[in-house]
Amino acid sequence: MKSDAAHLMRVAEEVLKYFYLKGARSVKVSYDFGDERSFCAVSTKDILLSAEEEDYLRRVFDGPVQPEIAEYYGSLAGRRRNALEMELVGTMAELEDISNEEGLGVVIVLSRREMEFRSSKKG
Amino acid sequence: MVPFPYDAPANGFENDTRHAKAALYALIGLVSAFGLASADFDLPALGRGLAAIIVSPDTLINDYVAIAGIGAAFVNAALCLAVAVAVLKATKVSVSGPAIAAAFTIAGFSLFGKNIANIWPGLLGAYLYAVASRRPFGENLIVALFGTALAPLSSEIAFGLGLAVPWNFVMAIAGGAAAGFLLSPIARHVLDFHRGYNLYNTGFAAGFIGTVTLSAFKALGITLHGGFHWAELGPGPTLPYLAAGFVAMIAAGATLDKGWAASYKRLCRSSGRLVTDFVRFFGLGATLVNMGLMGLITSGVMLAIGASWNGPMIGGLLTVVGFSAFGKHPRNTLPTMLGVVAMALLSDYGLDSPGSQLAVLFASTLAPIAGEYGPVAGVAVGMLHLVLVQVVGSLHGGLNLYNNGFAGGLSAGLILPVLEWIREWRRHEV
Repeated sequence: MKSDAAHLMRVAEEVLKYFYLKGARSVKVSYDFGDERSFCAVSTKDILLSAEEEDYLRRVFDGPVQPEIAEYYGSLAGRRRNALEMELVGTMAELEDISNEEGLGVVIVLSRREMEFRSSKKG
Repeated sequence: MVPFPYDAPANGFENDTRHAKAALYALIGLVSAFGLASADFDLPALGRGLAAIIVSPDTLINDYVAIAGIGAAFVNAALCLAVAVAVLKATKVSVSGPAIAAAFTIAGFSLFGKNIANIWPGLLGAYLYAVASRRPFGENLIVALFGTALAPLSSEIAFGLGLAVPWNFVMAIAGGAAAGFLLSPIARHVLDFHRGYNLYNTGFAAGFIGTVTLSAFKALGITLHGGFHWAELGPGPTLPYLAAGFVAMIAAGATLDKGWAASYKRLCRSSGRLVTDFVRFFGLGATLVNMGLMGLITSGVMLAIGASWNGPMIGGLLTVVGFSAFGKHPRNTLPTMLGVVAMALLSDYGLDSPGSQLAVLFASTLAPIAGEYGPVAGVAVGMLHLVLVQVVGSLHGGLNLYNNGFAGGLSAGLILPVLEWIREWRRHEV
């Protein structure tokens, strides 16, 4: 399995856990694995995020991928039953889109490039 | 597949990492200027001092201030820091929390064990691991920089085993590179044992490699030749400059980020568990304020316990300051320090021994325990840490400079299931 695919799955699991802890019980996760960049979308209609929660997610994922952190510490994601590793998975994927609307629920789309060779530029 | 059009994210991370890189350049300049001034700009004497540092066996504790004087020790630190910053630049890795922690740790340990000659084999090994894994070296850089913990192995092989030239150098490079290569996967693996509650994780991994290496040496009848060197400088020659540097950090942080106070409040509420990159999540301003404050507080702790101001203690101070960009803040650090002090006073070790004094500073590797489970847990794990750290050094014979990281990994891994059980029991989940 490619490294970026494995990282993206970790990220999706953590976002799924975040939605679960916020009260969602029906959550959809979908992936699109590409040669150069892969995407994942996590969505639920069960909840709406508050402005602070949406801002938190944006802050977590709005920075660049930092492969030096993701590759070293990535295995720590998902290790705790009652706590999240959002800061860690924030170094593994970039935010494509987040929508949070009444009736539509929450959709977050994330992506990761294969073989991230630097942490300060998007490809 | 059609890629999405990309624009850089509108956040301050890029700016912050640029400023952090500039701050590291400034640090190189300040450390080298201090070293040169301390040696009265006597370049031949500095050269002799550096040569003495390079050929000395570097197993714990080898205080370069005692070996070669304060000037040569700080010039060595500046050179090693310059290497770390150059490698960061070459690999285009962002200078955020982990990179800052690694750079400060290298600068600090270059006062007692790492030098401009013995850090290269470990870096080479980590590079070869990246090549063998067909991955960019940048991905393995944090392990590579922290992995210089095993630098004394190269020095010991080159100058302590009595091998003939040039085979001593060949074996030193091969041995150091093998250790650096193996450290890369092992450091990732041992994270599972303490689940990120030991900030000096590479030291934990290096402890196992050092233990295996020493066991192999003993099996072959090879003995280590490192001695014990510990200077007694007193705070006079260094504390005023260090304190000025810490105050400058606070001022720079407050200038960079006008809203640093609110960010700093949030920063101090974080547990500090791996991975808590303060630069990324709270901004460089609040991070610099935290680093400066932690420097001042830790200096105060050193004065309070009557610490010897020398290479290892100043190295410990710089390491604490570096990790104040990557997990440590006053709320989670002070309980662990208090635990070590309490156990030192209660036990036969006392606070006079070098091991206890260093443990007061380096027990902050367990800061995430206090941050997550509260100050009482922090004090308890600090006490456990001291009794372990005084013993585990004999397992690797001082080949692993991060002895406290090794003991910290054991302490965290042992106390964590107990703390977790207590938490679940209190929540009636048991």
